[in-house]
Amino acid sequence: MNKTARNDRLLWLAWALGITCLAIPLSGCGSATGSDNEQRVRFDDWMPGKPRESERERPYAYQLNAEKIFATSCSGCHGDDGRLGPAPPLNDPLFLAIYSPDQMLAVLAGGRSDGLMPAFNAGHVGGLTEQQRGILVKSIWERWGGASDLPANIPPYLQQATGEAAAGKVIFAAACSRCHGEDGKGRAAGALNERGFLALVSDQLLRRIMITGRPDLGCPDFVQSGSESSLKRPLTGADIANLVALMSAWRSGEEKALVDGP
Amino acid sequence: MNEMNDVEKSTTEGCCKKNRRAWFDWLSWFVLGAASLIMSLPVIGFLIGGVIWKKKDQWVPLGKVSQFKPGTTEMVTVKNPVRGPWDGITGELALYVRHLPEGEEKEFQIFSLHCTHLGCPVSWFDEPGLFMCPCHGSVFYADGGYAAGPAPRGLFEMKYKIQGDQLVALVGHYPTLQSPGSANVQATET
Amino acid sequence: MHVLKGIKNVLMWFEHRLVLRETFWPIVRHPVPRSLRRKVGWMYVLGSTAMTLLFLQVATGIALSMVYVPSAGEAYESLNYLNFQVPLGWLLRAIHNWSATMMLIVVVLHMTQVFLAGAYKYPRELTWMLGVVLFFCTVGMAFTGQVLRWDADSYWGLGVGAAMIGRIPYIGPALVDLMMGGPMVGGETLSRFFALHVYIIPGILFAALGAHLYLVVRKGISEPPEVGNEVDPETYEEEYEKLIADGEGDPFFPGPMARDAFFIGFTLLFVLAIAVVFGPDGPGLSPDPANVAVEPVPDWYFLSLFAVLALSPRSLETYIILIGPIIVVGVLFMLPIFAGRGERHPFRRPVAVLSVVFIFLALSVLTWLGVTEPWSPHMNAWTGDAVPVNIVKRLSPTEMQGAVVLQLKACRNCHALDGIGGKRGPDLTHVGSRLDRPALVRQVVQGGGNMPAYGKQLTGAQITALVDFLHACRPENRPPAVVPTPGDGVEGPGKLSRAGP
Repeated sequence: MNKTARNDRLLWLAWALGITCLAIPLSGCGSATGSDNEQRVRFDDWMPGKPRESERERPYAYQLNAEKIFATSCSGCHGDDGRLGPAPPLNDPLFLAIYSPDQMLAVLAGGRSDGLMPAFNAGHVGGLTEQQRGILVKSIWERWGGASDLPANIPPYLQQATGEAAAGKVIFAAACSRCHGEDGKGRAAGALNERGFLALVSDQLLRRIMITGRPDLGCPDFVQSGSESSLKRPLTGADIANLVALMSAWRSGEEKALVDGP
Repeated sequence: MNEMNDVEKSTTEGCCKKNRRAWFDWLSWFVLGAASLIMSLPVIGFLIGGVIWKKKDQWVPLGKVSQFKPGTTEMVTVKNPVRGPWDGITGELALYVRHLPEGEEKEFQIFSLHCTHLGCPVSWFDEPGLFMCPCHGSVFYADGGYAAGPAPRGLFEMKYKIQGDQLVALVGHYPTLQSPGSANVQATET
Repeated sequence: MHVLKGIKNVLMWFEHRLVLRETFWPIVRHPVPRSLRRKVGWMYVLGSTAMTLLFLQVATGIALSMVYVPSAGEAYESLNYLNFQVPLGWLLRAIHNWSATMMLIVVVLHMTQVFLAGAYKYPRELTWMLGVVLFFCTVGMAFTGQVLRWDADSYWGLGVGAAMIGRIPYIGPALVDLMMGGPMVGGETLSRFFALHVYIIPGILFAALGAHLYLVVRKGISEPPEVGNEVDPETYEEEYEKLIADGEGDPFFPGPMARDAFFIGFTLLFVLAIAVVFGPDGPGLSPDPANVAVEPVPDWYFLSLFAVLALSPRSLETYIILIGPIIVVGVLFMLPIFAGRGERHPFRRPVAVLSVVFIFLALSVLTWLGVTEPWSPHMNAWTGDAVPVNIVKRLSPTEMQGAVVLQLKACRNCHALDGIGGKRGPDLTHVGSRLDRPALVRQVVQGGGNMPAYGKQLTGAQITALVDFLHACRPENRPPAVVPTPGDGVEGPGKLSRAGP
């Protein structure tokens, strides 16, 4: 222990004794100025109980640590690490390559009307301020984006032309039915042609999953699912549009059956 | 010396004087007692004055009617009309405004955010359409009705009217079971 | 020598006027039974320790009042100013807080000791009753002190207090206004509680303490109980006189008092140590009426009450709130009237000992429940508590969407998966092995068993997906639940044998 520290401790002891014995503390003395972050005395810094201004309890809107925001507001559906949650992973470089921070900001602020993603604006419980959303989105690309070994010719995130269900059926049989069964009725990876599923996922989400796969769950991306099938080539944007059209047709068929009865 | 003599005289003289003296003694105690009683009135009056002469709820604008979208519930914060001059942040008043979906009987519902169980603040969850209380876990439906937990009734509701383009509510006091929100009591219009 | 003589003269000058040797000296030298010389004498240090802590509270409280602003708009910031700006302000707040905690503990121990030793019996009934007043004053100081912290817990705690008082028939609303000093929690409420904490309750406390001490000296410290030695009002005082007669008793000062001195000194150092290590309590979030993202929890000494309020049945709650305190106060207060004579030794008072054990066990369990709050929804669970990875990995696409629905509809706020999430409702990890599909649909749509009905909040597809997910929530290789047909008469085993692969 160096000399100043010991002196400080002795000084502190004298203070403590003075307070407990005399019980006439001097905390009321002294004028009340000084900047917010500057404490007037430092000799009690070694005491573990001394509160720090930075650790002051504040509402969630003051939380500006992106990882903590993610853990509080996102990991419920997207998983602790941004993957292996029931909702599509964000910790997915392929996805982050075709998606943009601006798009994510818009979804965060307004939610997805065609899907299950809720809005996270300050008006909602557990909502985020604009500043928090900005920090969060930035950190998502910083943490998980920027992979160098991305495949070539990635289909764009947004669909460019409507697809054909009939063409989609052929591709589905070739590329998807291995895991999802004939007509999506289910196999190792479970059924897709189910009302519960089709009604809850948007065409956009279907497209995204067909492009990126679910790398965290072993579902292949557009390269794998195409190359490892009888197509022997990565799926293209048009292929995916056709697949989406097929599933969209399944969906409207289900809805029609629901109205007309079986 | 004269005074002394007077005193001695009055105590030593005959029966009438003695009676007068006794009466005076009695009067003295009576005066003290009555004075104390009277003096205590303003003190007691001061202490319970706030209960007798209450600050009444007032009509407060919550915002433009158009800012509340049908089918949504949101929190609005206004200045509490019964606040004191140095109430600071506690002089605010937060309420939940529910704009009912079109086609319903009423247009709005204004809820106090105090749980009817013990007054903790309920949080509105858009997705499940529920109010949840953090203290003892009472839950209320979007229309304020009781859903679960220890609460004895649904959320407290406030009276409202539409004045021009403003939504105005009769608010102020802290609602409790026997003194619920203004929509539940026969509030006299001010 | 001249100096000493001078000092002596000065002292004698005062003594001549104060006459302490005749008034004060006999009090500190009042005789106590010799049996206190034994180890059991250590049981007698608690009262004076509580009193010393009270004095420490007064001293630190006065010091804090030099900075604290009892105004609703500024109290919170003045506490932060004490914490972060005023030299040693945080330490004073910490000492005040931990000394209050310690005082409450010591007061309760003191009461327990007096109760177990039967020291409240004849002729010390009134001493006990005044002690009960002191106990409730201490609790009152604890509650009002917590209010002065003026953070979110304090703000909502006042609301809870008002809501409880508001349940009193007829006069409830008037009492609420009286307590809050107006129709809402605000500046007048804080000033009111400041007056209670600083003037009114301490006034009562010191008056009661004076009377308590007067009786302690006047009626003497009770002798340690002995098995078979019954208290009989006819003979007790005579026997006690013998115990403290000249040559039998010990003067309280300096002998027996030294134990008090040691224990008090030790306690003070202990309080200082925990204050240095743990620091002050709060203030927490600001008292913002619009910030609903709070979890108001009372200070630890009210956690048991908090638990009672959460756990009592709805139909009985008002009665528990209103009649419970009357019973508690009444029993404590009237105790010496009903049990003021007879055996004092705990060995011969099994009911007394069992009551103490029961009360402490009940309070501990309730406090523990108050800490864990299994009844409170976890407000951030729906966005913050991830679906366990091992569950996600085995889900089909539809079940996966069901899991998202479960999160989105805030089911996790009350239901845990793998032990993570709210504890209000049952853990859903294996719900698929308990309920079959129709039962799951019914529970989700209609609610029941203290769960809201979600029928209106979910679309058909959402219910399908959610039920698919819940149905899949069961251990691997465990068949789904099958509800037995009515009239089967067999419960568990029937279920299993009927469940096909």
